[in-house]
Amino acid sequence: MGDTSAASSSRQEGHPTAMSHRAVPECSGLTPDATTSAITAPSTTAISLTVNGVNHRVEVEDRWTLVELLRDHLDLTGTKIGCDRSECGACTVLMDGKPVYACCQLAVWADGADVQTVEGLAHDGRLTPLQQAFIDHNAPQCGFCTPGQLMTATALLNTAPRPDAAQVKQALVGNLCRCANYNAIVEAVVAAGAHQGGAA
Amino acid sequence: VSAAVQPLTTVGHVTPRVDAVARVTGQAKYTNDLKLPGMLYARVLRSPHPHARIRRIDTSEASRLPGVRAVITHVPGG
Repeated sequence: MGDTSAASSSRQEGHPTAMSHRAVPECSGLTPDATTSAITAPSTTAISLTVNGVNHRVEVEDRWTLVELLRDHLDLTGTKIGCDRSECGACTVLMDGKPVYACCQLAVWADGADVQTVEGLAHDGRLTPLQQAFIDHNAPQCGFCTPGQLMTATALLNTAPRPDAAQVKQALVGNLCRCANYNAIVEAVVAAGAHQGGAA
Repeated sequence: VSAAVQPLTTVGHVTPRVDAVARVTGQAKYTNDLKLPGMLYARVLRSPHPHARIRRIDTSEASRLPGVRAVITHVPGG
């Protein structure tokens, strides 16, 4: 709290108040009657995190979610906000290799984390086998859920290189597709696994 | 199939989508991904009452918030 007036100029300074990795901050409580409270600038915290291999040191408002940081402040709009409440999975990113809903992670919890988004999958225009399989199997229809599907599937393939359809369905249970193109998505992930696994 | 029928070149063949790469790399732009010069943002404040008669809505506090350009509200009887 406090120190907000100097927030913009304190970027280069140390950040002793930065929260430890993924520590849950104390809830200050919501005031329903906000009109009676004084208008104060939101408190901020300096954090550093790696996104797609690039180090970022940013002053984040404590109320920002990770997906807001990525989309609104790092201009990585590939990560989508579908429901903004942990129901649809469109915002899924990898945090230290594990898929998380970026809409329900506070940005301050990402201090020190290694974050990967859909923009970090391809390298120098070379798609991953998973991305190519999504194209080959027409997995994206409207494509809004695709980034989240790709990130969850990437995490799956990192731990189970050749998943079967049942494993894929299990892994992707938290990624909704309102086009309901599930069959193609599952086919694509299975095919990518077969490809990566060096199938004969 | 008659021998006179030419083999189809489009129907029955897989056609790669023109925007497929954009959709799997996060580059596809949706409305909410756009940032335009001078773009304003809106927030909706819903009624705290499930069923009530609107006598008046005081928007003065909202108007005084820093950066607020306009408050669009309901005018009772309007």
